[in-house]
Amino acid sequence: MTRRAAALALVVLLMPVYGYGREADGALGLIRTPNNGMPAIVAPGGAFEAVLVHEAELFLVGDPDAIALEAIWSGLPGGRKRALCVVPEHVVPGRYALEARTRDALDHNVRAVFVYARFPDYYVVAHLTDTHVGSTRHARPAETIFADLIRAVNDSDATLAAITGDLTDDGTPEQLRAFLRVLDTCRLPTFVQPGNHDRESLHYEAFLGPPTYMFRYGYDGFLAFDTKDFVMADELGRQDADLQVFRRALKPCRWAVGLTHRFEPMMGMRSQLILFVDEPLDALLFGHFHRENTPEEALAPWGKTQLIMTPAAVYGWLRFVDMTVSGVLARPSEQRANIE
Amino acid sequence: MTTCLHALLMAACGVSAGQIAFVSGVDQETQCVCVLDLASGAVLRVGPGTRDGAPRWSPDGAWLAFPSQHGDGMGIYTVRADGADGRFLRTAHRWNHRPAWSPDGRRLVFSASQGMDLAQRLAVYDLATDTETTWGGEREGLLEAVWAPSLDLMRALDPEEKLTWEGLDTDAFLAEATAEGVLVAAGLAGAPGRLTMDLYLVTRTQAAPLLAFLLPPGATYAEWAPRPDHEGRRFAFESNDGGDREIYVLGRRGIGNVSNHREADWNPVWSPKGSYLAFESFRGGRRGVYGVYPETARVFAIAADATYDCWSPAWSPDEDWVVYVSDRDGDAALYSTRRDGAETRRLTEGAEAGYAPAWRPEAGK
Repeated sequence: MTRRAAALALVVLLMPVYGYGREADGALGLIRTPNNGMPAIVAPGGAFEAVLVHEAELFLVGDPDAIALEAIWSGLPGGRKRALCVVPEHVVPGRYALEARTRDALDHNVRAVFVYARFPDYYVVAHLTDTHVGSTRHARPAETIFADLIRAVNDSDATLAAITGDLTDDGTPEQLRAFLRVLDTCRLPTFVQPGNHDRESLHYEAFLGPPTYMFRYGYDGFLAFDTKDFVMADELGRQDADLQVFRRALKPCRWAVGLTHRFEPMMGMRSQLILFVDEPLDALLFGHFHRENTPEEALAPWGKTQLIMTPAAVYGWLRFVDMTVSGVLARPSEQRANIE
Repeated sequence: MTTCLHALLMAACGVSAGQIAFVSGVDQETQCVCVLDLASGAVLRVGPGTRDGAPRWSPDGAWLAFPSQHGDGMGIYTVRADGADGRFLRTAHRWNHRPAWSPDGRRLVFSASQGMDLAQRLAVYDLATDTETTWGGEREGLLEAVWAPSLDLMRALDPEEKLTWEGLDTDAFLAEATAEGVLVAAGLAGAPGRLTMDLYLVTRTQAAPLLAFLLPPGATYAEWAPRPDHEGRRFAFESNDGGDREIYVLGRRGIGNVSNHREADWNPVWSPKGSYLAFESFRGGRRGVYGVYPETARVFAIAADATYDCWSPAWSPDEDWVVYVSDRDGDAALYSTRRDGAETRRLTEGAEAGYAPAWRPEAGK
């Protein structure tokens, strides 16, 4: 065998294991969640939930090892499979890909699992919103503005990044792929959710999976709700039960923080009763309006819930939020990328 | 063939007649109000199919009303059960929601606003003259209203003395209510930053807080979903009085908590003859449909399970059956079950979801 042929054989051998996962078009493959939009955050010895198209052998893939995961499988409505995955005690804290292997397929989802040894009392969340990847509204492409902001996040003291919708300008596969290319340069776990622009096409779930309603980070709980069900939420009763269940589940948390793309007082009243009246969230992070809060918008109309609206990332803005023992403290928003 | 099998199945389990209006479709943009005929299993699309909202039957069962996208807002659409004579009302505001029929079926009330904010008014639309009138005087923040079938409860609350609500012209209020009807509405109370909700009695020119009159001073809770019984002698509503959301009934004997549980209870729905209230509750771990005898507060399960959700109950005209939405087989679909939880049947098939069911009232009842 020539040296060239040997090199080619090695590449072919390694490609399924270390190549970029998902489908050929970048859509999610065997693994639906966790993924690089919404990774699992877990301690050594802890467990996380994965949803797959069908059962597979699961591995945490770091550098250089692949660690087999024990999984308890159960069925989900619609035929998908849920795996409760146990992370071995000896796993070194860090960032891992989740890999699923079957006889016929391999899926490798980068930045899907973050193993943390411990959570501090104090940490920082980077809030970005309205990245509008694909937009040509400025001389610089929105993708490069977003890349600058991710570099700023990587250089900051933040340990979690939340991107609250309008990730893309039109929600096309090309724009979602471009968004993911930049997102994967982020060294932190990221939470992303769709906004109205991402819903202009029907591709969001194919690339980023079903919306996440709730996750915990350390002592705190984060509860997300989707713009999609906004106006009609009450009448059809789809979202409110999930919000109720997850709000209750987050009740023991130190701080309960809402994440949404868009907050307007005309959103479903049932949802507002759950989130702002009966068991008020401590804070709500959102965007959509491409501007700061006015002083009158510092609190939800019902009181108690702090509103934190961050200007659009496509205009170069982000905000850091300190999660402290005494409260959720929003720093002033910062313009950290040039737009021209 | 499917329709024939469906008809046989429905007949075998006793659900042999009637029609159910519901919202069909997974995608909000194309959701459409449909009517399911239980005898044949046929489903007829009757709505425009542009973000159609929850349908409401007129008291005689002849018409449906529901919100649907109209221009760059939401309009109110009325249509016959067979899909004929559909039209958008000539509403004055951009955003219109939650239509409710007057007891005589000649008027609709709905919340209306120009912007996507809480400054909503109550619009009463006369279907014969195509005229819209704003009710509640200058009061904004009235978010959801239903018609009171009678003034019985108002009179029972204070039979001997004049009603003494602060700032209310009680003589004019009662005269107006007698002449034109009265609404029960959930509306905002308090100031921005400290908002809460109260129930209001609303006539064309006035809006009077109902519970402020009945509760001790300083007792402010967030009420929602006012629902009068078929005679207007009792009102069910939700309140967070007690720490979590509960179902209360206001009647001649006062106000009573009829659901009382540490998990949230909401969305009270009277049976057509006032014998029962159905409601949604999380007491079983997931959202389930329960019933309660309003006089004794005895709660019974209608459709509840720890592994799936059931919601949006609606009663059959004879009170024997409840139709509701459940995701027990994956996607949201309509199911029916007897009042005691027996004989559960799936009513809608396929990937098209079913939401917000409303059982057609029997004509003339």
